[in-house]
Amino acid sequence: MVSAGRHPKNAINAALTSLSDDFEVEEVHKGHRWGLVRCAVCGETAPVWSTPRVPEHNARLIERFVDRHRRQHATEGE
Amino acid sequence: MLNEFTVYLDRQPTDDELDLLYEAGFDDSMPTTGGGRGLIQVAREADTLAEAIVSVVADAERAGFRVVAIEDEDLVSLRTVAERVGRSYESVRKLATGQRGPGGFPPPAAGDGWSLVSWTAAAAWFGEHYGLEVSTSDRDRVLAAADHLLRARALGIDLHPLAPLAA
Repeated sequence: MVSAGRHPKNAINAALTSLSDDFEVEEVHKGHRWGLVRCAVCGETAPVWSTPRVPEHNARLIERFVDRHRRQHATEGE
Repeated sequence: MLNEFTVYLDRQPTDDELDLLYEAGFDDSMPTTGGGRGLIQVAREADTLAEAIVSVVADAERAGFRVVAIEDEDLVSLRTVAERVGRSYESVRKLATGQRGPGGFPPPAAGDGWSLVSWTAAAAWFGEHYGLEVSTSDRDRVLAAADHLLRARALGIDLHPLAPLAA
């Protein structure tokens, strides 16, 4: 769920707004960090850059973060 | 070519160090922190995967970190090997222990007994001895080799005497 404002890059904003409730988004605005994504299950976080080199790639990275945690936490429950 | 993989750092970055990573070249990637460890999900443009891995290691060192491993998808159980080569677990277990077959099965890479083995090595063994065409992509082989080299470097010993092994 996105409780933060809008990221300036459309591709990243689209990735953030499609996150499920298992992931939290927080605006930080410090250094190069616009904000962060946090896995609500294990607490691992990843920064979301304000000016990533290629916004479309960073949107893909957010999806990978989600996939990784879904796989990890799904097998932990087995 | 976009190269996507995940590397482990020698420690968890602080918030300030995340900015150092950005400035060292990881504006194309996503460091993650949690549980006392640091990873970087990489998405790097490079002509080859090997070039991408080498540049990631160099950028991390510029930010004061060492890359100690690449996220390992190569170590698998014998059960997984059995599934992938279309044999029973018992059959593969006996091949692995030399009770059947030509012997020389890749040794276990981790854990007690035969719990984990390199899939890349096991696939090559089945290809050589049983003609099985079980493909491992170049990507799998490069990632596995780079992971082993990085783990060796992280041991902190002088590797120069061992350099001929890499030839």
